This record gives sequence, structure tokens and C-alpha cells, in this order.
Amino acid sequence: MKLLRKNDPDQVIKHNLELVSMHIPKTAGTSFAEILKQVYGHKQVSNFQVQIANHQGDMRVMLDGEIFTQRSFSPDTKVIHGHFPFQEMEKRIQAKEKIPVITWLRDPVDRVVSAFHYVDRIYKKELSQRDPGLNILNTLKRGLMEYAHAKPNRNRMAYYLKGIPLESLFFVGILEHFEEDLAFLAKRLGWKEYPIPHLNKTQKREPLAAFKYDAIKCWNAQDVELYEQALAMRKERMQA
Amino acid sequence: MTPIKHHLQLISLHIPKTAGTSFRNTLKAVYGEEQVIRLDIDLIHHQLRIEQQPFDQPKLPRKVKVVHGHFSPALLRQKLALSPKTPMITWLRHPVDRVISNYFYLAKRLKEELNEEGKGLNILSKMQKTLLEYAYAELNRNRMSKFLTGITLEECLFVGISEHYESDLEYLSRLLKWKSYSTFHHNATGGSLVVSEVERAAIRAWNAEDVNLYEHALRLRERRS
Repeated sequence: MKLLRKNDPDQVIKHNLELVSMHIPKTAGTSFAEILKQVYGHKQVSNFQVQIANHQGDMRVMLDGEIFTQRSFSPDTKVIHGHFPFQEMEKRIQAKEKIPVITWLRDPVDRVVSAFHYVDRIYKKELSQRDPGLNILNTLKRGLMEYAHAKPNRNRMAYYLKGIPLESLFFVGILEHFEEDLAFLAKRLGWKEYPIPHLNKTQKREPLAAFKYDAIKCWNAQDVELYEQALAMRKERMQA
Repeated sequence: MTPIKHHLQLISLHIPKTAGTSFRNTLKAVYGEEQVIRLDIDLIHHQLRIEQQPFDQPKLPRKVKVVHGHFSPALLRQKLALSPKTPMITWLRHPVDRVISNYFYLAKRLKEELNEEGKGLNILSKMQKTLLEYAYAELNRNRMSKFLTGITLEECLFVGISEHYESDLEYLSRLLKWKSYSTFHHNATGGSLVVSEVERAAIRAWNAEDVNLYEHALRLRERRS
């Protein structure tokens, strides 16, 4: 597999990586990170993120929660896992043959709803820690449909995967088939044993009204297409 | 519940983003720092707060002559033993400008409170309503009319217009026989922000009651001059 071929010489990071795991938000990435740590060792797995640093849109690299400006990872680091658009990672991670890149996808509507509730909790928590008078600032908080309609919140799976066709990834798991797909991945990577986590059960929520479901689906057409392709690829590999 | 006793001489209703903070400073300069208190009644839970603290005493301190804050007159009447002779005054502002100013004021406070860069958070770009999303919400429409539920403009001793702040303040000072007064300028939010005509038209349409109220206040103002 020839990946990671578009390094930016000014940003490239040397490494001894064996696996790159892209964590698209709300696709069980935190549980999966725990599995990786159990399999490879805590020191061997680092959280790697490429994120927008400021309102000018500059990007910065975070490694294990700290801003990272060095030009090489620790030799112990075998796996990076975290939130990063593929192309941003590809610029920075030294090109080598056969580094498997993997990710998980999820039903796009469920992912958007889950992402909304996650950010909503942070918003409320951040404000409720202070003066209750700050409740007034909740009038600026988006509801689910406003959140889902806003451009930065649409087609996030496609955003993270821009520049890499699904077929070029070593593995694409489907959250709705987590245990089965994890077993498949373990086999492919030759893991001898691995823990099976209990995924965070999503709080029971009222089912979405049909028109809301359809609207969110429509606003995430690229993600729907990706997800359907991933399901078809999965079906194929199950039949092989 | 027994109404709270008081010795108020003036009730000043502060509708958000109508120069109320500047006006409070003028009131304090005229009546005295301790004679003017902030009184708010939250529109949902009806909780009365004095100087932003919950208040459950049977009477206001004797020295308090003026209350100024966010409340609806109808709720204030439930909480305080009000005589019809106690004058009530307020200020209005062009409804579209008021909504825009309110939005950018809240956005500025939200940004400061969340301190995203300091805390490594990234939620504003996802969760903060745009101006139009904010203005469209029923809660944020026609807020001047909502504050004034239960009282007509004619029942107020004075209705000032923020756009004519200095001349209306001068008129009020004569009406209330203030010997002298100071003018303050505070809280100017959104003055340089560009909002398109299309956005302004939408906000105007969503605030039709406030537009009528404001135009009525302008007519009353014209009549008094």
C-alpha cells in the first residue's frame, strides 16, 4: 500500500509508525484508542491531531494534548490515532511504504445527532460552571437542525477523508458492526488478542421526526455516499 | 405572597441594548449611588434579583429611591406594592438595530466566557447561531413588546428613544426636575458591524410588533416636542 506520498518538506515528521488510525468524531474512536493501547502498549500509541489553531485558519499539530513542533516522533511511537483530515496528516507524516491507514465510519445521520449532543453538553458545561446569569448566552446556542444545517457541520466524514479513496485505506470499519469488524481488523493486523469494549451506550433519545431525518441525510449527501460505499465494500469482504 | 414594601420615586425599565447602562449611571449621578438599585425579574422563573442576587425580603431598603433593570411591569406589579403614582420610564431603540446589537453583545460575551484558544475548545464555529438564526428564534423576536406587556406607552411617564439619547435625556431631566445631570456613554456594541439590507429586512419582518411600538413611540415623541 503506497500512502503518505505528499509530504511537505517544511513540515515532515520522521517516525517508526506501524499504523495510522483516523478518528472521525463520534465513531467510537475513544473506545478504539483504548483497544490500540491494549494491543500495542500505552507508550506506543499517541494521540495525534491536526486542528485549526486560530480564526485565520492556521493549522497546528497536537500530540498527546500538547502542541507539537518537533520533526520526529519518539522511536517508541508505533501508532497514531486522532482527529486529522487525511491530507493534513499526509503532508506531515514521513512517506514510507506499507503504513496501513485505517478508519471507522458511522451512519451519517446518527453521527450528526451524536456530534450535536456532544458539543451541546460541552457548551452547557462550560457556561454552567460560572454565574447562572450566563444562561443568557444559551440564546446563542444552536438547536439540532441549525447545527446540522450549518456548513461546517455537514459531510464531516468526507471532509476528513478528502484526498483518499476508501479503497486505498487498509481498513474501513462500520460502527454499527463494531465487534465483527474489529475481529476482521485484528485478524488482518495479526493481533494475538485484544479487548472487546462496551461501547458508550448513547442516551436514549426521542427518535427523530422523519422530515428532520431526511433533511440531515440530504445535507450530508457526500457522507451518505461514502457510508454506502463502505457498506458495499464490507459486504464484499464478508463474502470473500 | 405579600408585595414587597418600598419608598420608590421612579421605576426605570431597562430593555436590553437601549442605552440602559449609560442611563443607570446618569440615575446614580442624579439620585445617589445607593439610592439607585438594579432590579431584575427573570421572565421564565419570575425570580426577583437585586444587584444580581436573589431577593426575598419583605421590603426594599428605605434609602432606595429608584429601581432600574430588566423586568416586565406586569411581573413587577406582582412583586412590589406599586402605586399608580410611581412613574415608570423606559427607552426604546430601532428594533433592527436593537436585535443586531443584542446579538453581537452576546457573541462577544460568549467568546470571552468560552476562551476557546486558551482552553483548546472548538465549539463556537459549530454551535453559535448566526445573526439570522438568533433573530429568527421566537424567544428573540419582539422583545421590546414582550418587556412592555401589561403597560401602554401612554401609561409611561416617559419613553425615550436611544437614537435621540441626549435630547430625550434633557427632556426627562426637565420632566423630573433634576437640577443637574451627567451624560455617560457605555456599551456601544455593533456600531461598525456590517449587516446586509436583506438581513435587516428579515429582522424587521420578524419584529413587526416592535416596529409598530417603536413607530408609535416616535409619534408620541413628536407630539411632546
